[in-house]
Amino acid sequence: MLACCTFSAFGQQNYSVEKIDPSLIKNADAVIRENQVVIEVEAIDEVTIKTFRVVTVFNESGDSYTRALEFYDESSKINEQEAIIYDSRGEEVDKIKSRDFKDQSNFDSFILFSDNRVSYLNYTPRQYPYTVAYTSEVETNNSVFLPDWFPMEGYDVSVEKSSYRLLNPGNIPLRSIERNFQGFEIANNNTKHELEYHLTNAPAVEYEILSPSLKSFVPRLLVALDKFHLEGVDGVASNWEEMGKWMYDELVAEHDQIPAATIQKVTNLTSDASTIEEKARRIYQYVQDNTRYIAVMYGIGGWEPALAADVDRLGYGDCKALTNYTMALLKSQGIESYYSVVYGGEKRNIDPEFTKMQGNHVILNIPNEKGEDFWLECTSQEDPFNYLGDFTDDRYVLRVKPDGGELVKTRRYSEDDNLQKTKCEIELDGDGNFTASLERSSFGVPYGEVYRLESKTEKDRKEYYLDEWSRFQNITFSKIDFENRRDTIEFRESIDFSGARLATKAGKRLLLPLSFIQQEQVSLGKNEDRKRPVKLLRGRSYEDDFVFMLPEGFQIETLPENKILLTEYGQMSIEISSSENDGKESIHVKRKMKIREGEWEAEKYPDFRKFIYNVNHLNGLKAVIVQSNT
Amino acid sequence: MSRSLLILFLALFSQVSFSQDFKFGKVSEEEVTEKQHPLEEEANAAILYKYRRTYYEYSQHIGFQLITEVHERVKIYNKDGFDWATKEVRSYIGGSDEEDVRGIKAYTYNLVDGKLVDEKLDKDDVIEEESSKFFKTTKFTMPAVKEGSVIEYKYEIVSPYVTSIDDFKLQYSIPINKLEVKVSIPEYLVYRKHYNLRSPIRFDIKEDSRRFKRGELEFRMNSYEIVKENIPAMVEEPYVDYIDNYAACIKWELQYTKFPQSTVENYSTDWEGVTKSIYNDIGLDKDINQTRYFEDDIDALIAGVSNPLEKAARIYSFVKKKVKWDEYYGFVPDKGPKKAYKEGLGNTADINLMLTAMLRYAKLNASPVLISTPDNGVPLFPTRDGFNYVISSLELEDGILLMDATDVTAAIGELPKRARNWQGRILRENGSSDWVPLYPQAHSSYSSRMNIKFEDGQLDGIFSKTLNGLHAKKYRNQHFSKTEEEMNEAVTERMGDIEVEEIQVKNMHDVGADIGENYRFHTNYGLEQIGENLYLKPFLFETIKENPFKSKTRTYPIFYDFMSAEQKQVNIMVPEGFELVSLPESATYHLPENAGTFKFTAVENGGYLRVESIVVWNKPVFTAAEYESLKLFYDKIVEKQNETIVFGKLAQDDTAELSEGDE
Repeated sequence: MLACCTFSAFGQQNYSVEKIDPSLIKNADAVIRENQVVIEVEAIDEVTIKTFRVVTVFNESGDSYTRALEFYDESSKINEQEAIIYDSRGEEVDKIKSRDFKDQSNFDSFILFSDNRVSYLNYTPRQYPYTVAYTSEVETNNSVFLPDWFPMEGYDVSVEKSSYRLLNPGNIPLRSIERNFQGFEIANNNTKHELEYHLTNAPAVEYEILSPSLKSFVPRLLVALDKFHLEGVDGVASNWEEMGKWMYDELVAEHDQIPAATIQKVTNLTSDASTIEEKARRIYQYVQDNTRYIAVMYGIGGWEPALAADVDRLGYGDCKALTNYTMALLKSQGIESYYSVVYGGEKRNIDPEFTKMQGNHVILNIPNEKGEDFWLECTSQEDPFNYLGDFTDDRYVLRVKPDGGELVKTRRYSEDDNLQKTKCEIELDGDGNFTASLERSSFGVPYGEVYRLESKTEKDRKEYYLDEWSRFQNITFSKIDFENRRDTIEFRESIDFSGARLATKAGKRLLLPLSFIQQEQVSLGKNEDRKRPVKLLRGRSYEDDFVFMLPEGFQIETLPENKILLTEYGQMSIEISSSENDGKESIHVKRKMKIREGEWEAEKYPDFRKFIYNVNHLNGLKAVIVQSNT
Repeated sequence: MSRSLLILFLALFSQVSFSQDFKFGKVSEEEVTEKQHPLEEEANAAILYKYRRTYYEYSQHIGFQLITEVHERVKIYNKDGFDWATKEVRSYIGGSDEEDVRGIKAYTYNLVDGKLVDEKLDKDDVIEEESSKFFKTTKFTMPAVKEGSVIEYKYEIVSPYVTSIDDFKLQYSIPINKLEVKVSIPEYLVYRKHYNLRSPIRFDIKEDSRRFKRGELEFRMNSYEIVKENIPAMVEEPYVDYIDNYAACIKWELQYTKFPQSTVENYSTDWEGVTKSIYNDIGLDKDINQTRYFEDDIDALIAGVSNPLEKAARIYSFVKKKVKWDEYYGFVPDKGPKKAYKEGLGNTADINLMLTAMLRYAKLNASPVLISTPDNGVPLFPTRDGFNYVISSLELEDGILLMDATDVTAAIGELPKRARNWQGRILRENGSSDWVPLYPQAHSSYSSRMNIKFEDGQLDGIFSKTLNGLHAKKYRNQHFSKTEEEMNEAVTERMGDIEVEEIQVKNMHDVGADIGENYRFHTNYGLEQIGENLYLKPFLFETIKENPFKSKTRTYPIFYDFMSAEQKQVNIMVPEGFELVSLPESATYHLPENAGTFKFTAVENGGYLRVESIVVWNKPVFTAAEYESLKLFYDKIVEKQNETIVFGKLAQDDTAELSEGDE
């Protein structure tokens, strides 16, 4: 009742573009004129979400901020959807009724089947700016995903007004937490069981390279009920322990039956293994050899793993199903392991301070009394045992145990872990062409960037290197060999190849670039008004050793001096020496580089940029060799 | 050539290695144990057997139905081949009657402890999904798939749409070991078959015709059969217009039907006929003769203008402003030009037919032109599906001017990339039709100039470039909607470490005029001081550093987009205290048959250097046979543009220092 009244009061507004404060137009692709979300929790399995949202869009990049869309599935439905389009003067030009919204299934191509669908406004703007006023009402049974408030929805969008109301007539116990409110105009009118927040006049945030994630510095309100409902299952949880317990009891437990034949197979497979680690390794290998990743998610299947027996029969499953299956196989050999919920992708924690259903992926944790725990990525057929890579490293995950949940951190790869070592001999001819023999070892996160080459075809491997080393001309490969040491997690590449004009001609001289293989060069634009810190997510190190053999009849004319660069962001050194053997000269280059993980305040940006500039400069050092006058 | 010979040669050998039984369910141990494809060792998977039979079934109640039986056996060699274990079958549900997929049977075969074991696909694991209003997708993924698995499935598609037989794809991104295609068609329907002649693979077809009885009906059944072994996988290459243009396939063109007790109904014609039928269907007359809704606006717009080109230009830019494109293709208007005019939004037909109508109203010789976008391919025979888009044209004494008012950055006479494919069919007012070329007939030019001087060990320079034609259009496509500030940011960002100021971009919104971009820059990019010498790569950030053609071989033609003349000039003042030690040599290179020229010049003249690179491309498309020379030609461009100028410190500097020391 209340909610209805709130909306009608705003129906008469004039959305002319002129009324927007100029400070909100600066850097904005779109301005959220108002966004009112009213959530009414009638019961734990009956939630209504009403949205009234008005967005003015200034250009194509802003189109997506109209966000006139709703998702729905078996347990939620759309009661109402309507949009009115205004021109820049605020005159109504179009009205789109709910039946004219476009409906389609909502999932990525890698998901085989899901019942999730989306109904969206399919509107082609005739001119910019334009304004969309969107009204919707959605009903859902799944109160476990109560919407949070995230009023500054992205980069390059300003907010004139945004409000969030949570109505809770049944007085269901409620928790909420405010994040990054400081410095914003936010008012609230909360009561014990209900929430009401208003944000006004927040100018657009511009994206800055290497900055912390948007979520970490714009306002957010996290909201959860202590009693909730998910796809036919009720739950009670106010802390992670209880949440984990509920997930275990309702979603994970008793999914671990495996046919006797498979248990027998696994028992035989592990019978002569003496340690838990060795047994687990073999079981992980068994899973990798016998399953593949296929996502099928509908109903509770989006949240509960498929039965281990089904995975055993079908040989495929999603992350939940494959993790649960591996857990069941380990259990059959008396090895304890835990289903662990995580955010896969860029580093993001399951929030330790706020208990609410979170995460988008599941991995397996095997406790290890003698050292660090083991972690398994069960959707991969190729990852080595206990390898997480940059997909799930260094972040809080929810470990789901029979007696409750707990937050634990996955392994972090340090700058020394993330090492690439290159050794290369390069033979030059008088035209600057080269033949090279290269050996490279990769560890840690870099391992994950290259090891899949092993399973690629010859053609794809060549294409990879052609692309990676595109600055070389006319490459021909004579050998591409790999050694994938999965047990120690090290990938070795041995590559023999030749190419044209490594050294560029300058009359009778040749200019020889001394960093034969280069890391990807970043170039950072000038930004005198940097607002946010510089953040490097992972450290890395490189150790390179290049030997250049000069062509017959050439001598070194000039060698650059040795250099060391020491900064708080990292360091680099380059040592250059020459030697002579049988009348043939050679140049020896030792290059070492380390990039630190860390966060530095915005004022450091110019200094950081200078560091990168200096690194690029050192990477560009050249020697001059010259044909002897004979 | 040699490759296909080799394959043929190998094919003869592999034949004898083991004979296979392709009856459903007769998967052999050898097939499961095979580690790699005998001919294409890079293949992640292979179609061991593909069977497709299409025939007509007659029943008293329903009449004719079109049945297609499919049986495939697929070998998965490695993990990258797992995608082939998921099958999707699309069926049409958009009409009054629906297509149906039925009778799915599928098994996975593995070797377990040395024994061949099969695993059946459960019916419950077959999923049906409405992917759109028009199509349903039936999907399944096979159980127990591992490296080495062989999977086998069969199903039927039952279609009430008897007058259209789907295209038969005869080539995939993995090899096919054995292909069997059978089609039987009652005499009532007469089809013509078309192979894709751009594919080098040829197929023999066995034809047969015999009498047939179904209930009361007696008719001749015409049948066709193809059996072919070892069809190689499609190759992936860059700079291809549309890969399916080169895949082996057969298309079935219905020519006419003659059912008992009814008259002959003609379906197929020549391009003239296709054009006419489209003309009639879309009621072009109606759309083009309806002028009332815009008359006042156009009258005002062209009042006092007599030059036809000027009239056309005004109308063309008026339409571009007035009606926005909704990003839908088609030669059939969506809402009709009149409504599109009122609402300011329409599809390609709404917009370009409106444009044609207005041009004609202005007494200009305008006509619509039907075209096929690149992703619609190049049709194999005269068919309405061969077109999917319409533009407008103006015929003048000295030629034809093409227009597409759906593209705001296209000048009059220019087409967007989506409209540059194959050729177009013009439909004249008198009812005649004709082909018109769609590729631009003139060169587009790119010319840049830099003036550089040395300042405190760095370079100070003025840069300016002028773009015309499609080069200008490309630039506008990227930046058209940018404000001046955003444009400055875009240039600054593109330049990275190079400091730029006084950025000026000219004529961004004056579509048709040349784009100009100027700025001052300050950098040490391209400059090295090593020992006593200075080394300079003169083209700085304008240097082409890489040859885009890296692969050793080429299968398909290379689409270079448009003819182009690219001139880059650099003027350098010899730095004070230095002298020129060496300058790259001037040189000229040609592509065979005048398809391209590269002229590199470097000269010194009284303390000034001028270095210039001129590359001219005289055709937009190169054949695969020309690849080698194209690659070499490009390599020369990269080589010469990357050569370095050397300046040496003047000896008198030393003397100057010495004499200072003397004092």
